[in-house]
Amino acid sequence: MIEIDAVSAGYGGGLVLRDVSLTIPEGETTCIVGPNGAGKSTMLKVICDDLTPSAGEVRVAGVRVTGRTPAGAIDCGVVMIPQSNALFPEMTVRENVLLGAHAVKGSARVHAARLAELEALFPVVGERARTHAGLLSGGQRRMVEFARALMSRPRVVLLDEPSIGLDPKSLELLSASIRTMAEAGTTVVLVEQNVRFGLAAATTGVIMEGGTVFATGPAADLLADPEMRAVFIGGHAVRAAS
Amino acid sequence: MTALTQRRRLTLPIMAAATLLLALSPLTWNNLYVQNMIIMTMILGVMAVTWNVMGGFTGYISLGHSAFLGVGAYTTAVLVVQFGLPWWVGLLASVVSSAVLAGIFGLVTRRARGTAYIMVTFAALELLKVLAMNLTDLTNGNHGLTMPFLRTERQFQQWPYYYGLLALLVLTVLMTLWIRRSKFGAGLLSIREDEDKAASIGIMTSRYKLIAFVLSGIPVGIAGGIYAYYIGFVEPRGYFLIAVSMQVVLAVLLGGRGTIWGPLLGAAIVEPLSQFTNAVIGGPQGGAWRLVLFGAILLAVILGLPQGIIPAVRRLIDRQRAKRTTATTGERFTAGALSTGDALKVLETFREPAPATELILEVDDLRKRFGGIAALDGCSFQVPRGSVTALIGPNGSGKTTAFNMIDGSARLDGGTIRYNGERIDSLPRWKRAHLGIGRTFQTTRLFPALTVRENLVAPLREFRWGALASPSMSGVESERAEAAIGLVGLGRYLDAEAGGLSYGQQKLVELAQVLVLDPELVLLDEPAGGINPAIVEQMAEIIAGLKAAGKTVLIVEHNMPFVLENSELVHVLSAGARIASGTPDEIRNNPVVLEAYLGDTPVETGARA
Amino acid sequence: MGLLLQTLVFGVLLGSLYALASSGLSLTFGVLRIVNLVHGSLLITGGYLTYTLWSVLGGLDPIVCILLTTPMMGLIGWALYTALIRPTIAGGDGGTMMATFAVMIAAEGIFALVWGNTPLTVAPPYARTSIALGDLVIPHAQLYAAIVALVVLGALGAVLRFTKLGRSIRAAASNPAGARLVGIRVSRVNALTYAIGAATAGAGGALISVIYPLTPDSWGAWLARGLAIVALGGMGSFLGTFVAALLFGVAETLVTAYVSLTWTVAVPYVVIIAVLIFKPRGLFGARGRTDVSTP
Repeated sequence: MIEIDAVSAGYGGGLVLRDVSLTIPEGETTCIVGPNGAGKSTMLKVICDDLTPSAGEVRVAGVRVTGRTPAGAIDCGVVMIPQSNALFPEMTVRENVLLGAHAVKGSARVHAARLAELEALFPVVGERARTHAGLLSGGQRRMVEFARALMSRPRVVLLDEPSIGLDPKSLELLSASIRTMAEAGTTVVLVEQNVRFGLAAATTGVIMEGGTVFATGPAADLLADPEMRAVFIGGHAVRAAS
Repeated sequence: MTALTQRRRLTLPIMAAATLLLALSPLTWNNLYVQNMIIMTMILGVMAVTWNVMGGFTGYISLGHSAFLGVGAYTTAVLVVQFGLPWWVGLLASVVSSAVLAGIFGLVTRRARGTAYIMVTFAALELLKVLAMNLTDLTNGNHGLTMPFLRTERQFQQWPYYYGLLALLVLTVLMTLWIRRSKFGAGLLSIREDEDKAASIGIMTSRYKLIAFVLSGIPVGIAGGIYAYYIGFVEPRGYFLIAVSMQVVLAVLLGGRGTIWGPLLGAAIVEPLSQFTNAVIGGPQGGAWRLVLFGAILLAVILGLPQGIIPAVRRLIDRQRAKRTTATTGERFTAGALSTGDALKVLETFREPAPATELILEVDDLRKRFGGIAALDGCSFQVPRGSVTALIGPNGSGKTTAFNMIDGSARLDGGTIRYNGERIDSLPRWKRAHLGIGRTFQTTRLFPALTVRENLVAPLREFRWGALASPSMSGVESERAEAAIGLVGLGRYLDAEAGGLSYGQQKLVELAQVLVLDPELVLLDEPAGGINPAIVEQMAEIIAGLKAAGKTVLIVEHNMPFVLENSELVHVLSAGARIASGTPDEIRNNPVVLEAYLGDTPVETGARA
Repeated sequence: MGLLLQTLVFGVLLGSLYALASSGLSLTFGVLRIVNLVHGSLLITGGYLTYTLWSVLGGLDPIVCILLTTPMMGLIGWALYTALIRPTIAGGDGGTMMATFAVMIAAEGIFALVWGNTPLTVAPPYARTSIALGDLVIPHAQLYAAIVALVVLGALGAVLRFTKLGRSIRAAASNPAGARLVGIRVSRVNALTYAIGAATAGAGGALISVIYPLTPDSWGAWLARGLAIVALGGMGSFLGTFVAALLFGVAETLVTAYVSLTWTVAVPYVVIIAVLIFKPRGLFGARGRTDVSTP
């Protein structure tokens, strides 16, 4: 389980997260939603210590991750897949995926076996193994990013707006992949603009606004909550709909 | 800001006093050694001050500045020695040749920025050296050219050079003072801060750079001609010297890059130091020690004092002063701000009457791909003249990309854009600004190191020499800046550094900056994003004022209540194409829109409320 | 015809050496995005170190010296990067370039102080012998230099391609933020990259010392050649640099043979200026901007 304990964080002086505390349950899929600038992506960056908070700390399964850099977070079993540009465009798909195991110990044979498992899970990894990652389509890239993240057998996978720029077919693949991860016991935390997609894929939902947590609850309940729509479309939409 | 004006008032008297002192010194104390040192310092001074125009103001670092000295010296020497022309013809020709070289450097910056430009300047310097060595018919190769001896009494033999260079230095400094305080200078600084943004406020970056480079090359060319006479001998290795370029760079960095007086101060430290080390560590190893010493000093400056002496001292003084005066933050608006309509009247420029087309902007079938992802996929929409139109859609739906196509900051892969009925999709960026398209950015792109005033003086509506020369601190340009800042109610921050303002204030200043262009079509990228409610309200008022004044406004915005309240036409984009258009009421109740925002499954209506 | 063939063979041999001499520059530019103006000085340092080893150790073959100069130069490079170059990165590309510029100037002074101003050459037994193939003359020194250069380049290529370190270097070059997220310690990888670049200069310098006389100011010619080759090859493309080096070697020998030796020195400068103005991406740097984000 991930414990976010009184975290404040921001960039260059300004605070994006203000004293946020949140517990994310283990083995489930949690989706963080909220309008632009609510602090969702910053939250993910803090969890994998790509951004060190100015106050507070993050613990994963009781171990403090804060202050360890992303390499240390991978050691704790936390992997982040950012919104865009995570891959190495001039390297082949296989090299990209293998780099996912960069920070974990293991022989070449262990890594090869893991790679084979992932090729079965994400066929594109095997089919386009020698293609430069920069030449893949958006959906294919996302699959390669998933495979790379799973190379290190993480306990926690953080996804920043995975649905962005994906066509409907890729979206289906994406939700299937998220399900696969969850079924394998991985804790998934995703941030989504596409609220319906995100909450449908998750068991727990978190709504953020203005750098704080606005509401938490089962994803299905939040999806039906009119207040949530108020956060996104503004009060008028609620009035109009009622 | 009082500190600033105080400093400014002191500048001219101090300069006059220093000039007088330098002018009188040979009359009272005719010491050849001291005069030589001052002469060499003045040459380095001219080079440092002009390097600063390119490297400090405009942001183009050159390792080849001594090339101008060499070209000036060789032009004079060849004409005088090989063709027997009088000295003044040589100097005039040096003006021309150094201007040509500067022009070439300026043209190079069309393609090569940053490191590429630095490499080109290094190569150009070395290439000129090779030319001077190999074009033996003209230059006499490695044997060099011996200049004719100017007959003067020994006692006064250095006076012509001394006074000539003093005049040149004073003129050069006055020129940089003027550049720094003119609209042109504000433009150069904008190029340094953010060249693409500079183009978006109408600055013709290539032409600006060309002018700046020519202005900064010529004085060094003249100095080269004088130097040739002074030394009496011209040869390739002595003139096209990378070590001299290094001294120039060192002088500027030491004194303070981008400041007026830093380069002079630096030159006054570096040259005497160089002469001193010459005297102290003579012998066969002297040259080597000097290289080590100067390399080490340059490194120490880069590592330990990257800002240079003058900015460091200035910061110290400002910090002392700030302790004494109370902070002015907290007050957001100035009393007596101009109404939007009045301010826009001041900002109005003469413009050919727009054709009476009903649509000011027609965007048709725009396409843009980044790698494997289509950001715009056949996007079409129209903006009626005089309307406030909004462009909305989820993240990644292509709104900002559409803006980038319209203002010319990115090229389109396909489609057409018509403004006032004319195609603009292949016009350069500044041209679109001159036609009347102004644009703000999602995350503000003011020039953070410049004052608000300089930010507001920089925009260029049309190219006129007179406009470039007009000062930024007074006169028409300043009035326009004041009107623009009054429009957004931030008059008291006119002389504050733009980077020090709050995010919301920066958004307002960027809007003011765009309005200085007197645009017909204003593109606002998330005007209400990330700012507090009071400023959001003010933004809404300004938009209403713009509409009342007959301008057209196109907004990209995530804040839905803001959009629905302040616009009359809304286009909804999703996945790079338009999926709906209509009045705010129509959009509010359009299920397609709700779906785009909330997800891909059909919407259940909010029955619970 | 004989002259042309001879010139081409010479050019290719020279080009192989140039490829090694500029590979470090290409590496530091491609990965660290630094135009390393010290590179010419590093090569000369490698040459001078070889000279000292050769003269102190009683005529130790310069090719064997490579085994010593390479790690020595690697250490020097690592120290240089961590002490002087890394602290200036925050100041933008002007800052790093200026720092390398300062080191480059100081280095010339150090060369003169340590090794003096007289030209030095390492003279192994094969320095003046050559093979004759009909009309064709192939000096042993050039031939050996070319072979060794190719071997070292091959080794470097293999390290980059097949080792974990090589993969992290390429990953850090391709996408530093992404590299951080897979747990690559980018800052350490960068220091290592610079060290490897300097180490290639150790090998390159050893070979240079046999063929060209060493003087304190000879870094200039090597820096110019390196910059020209890297620009021509497409700024940081490894294969591009290799092909560009061969082309450049041939171009230089052609100018020497058919124009005049005095104009040969101008070749690199003309190439730098022409390439950066007319084809800033170089001959082989045409890879698309696939890393641009959508939103």
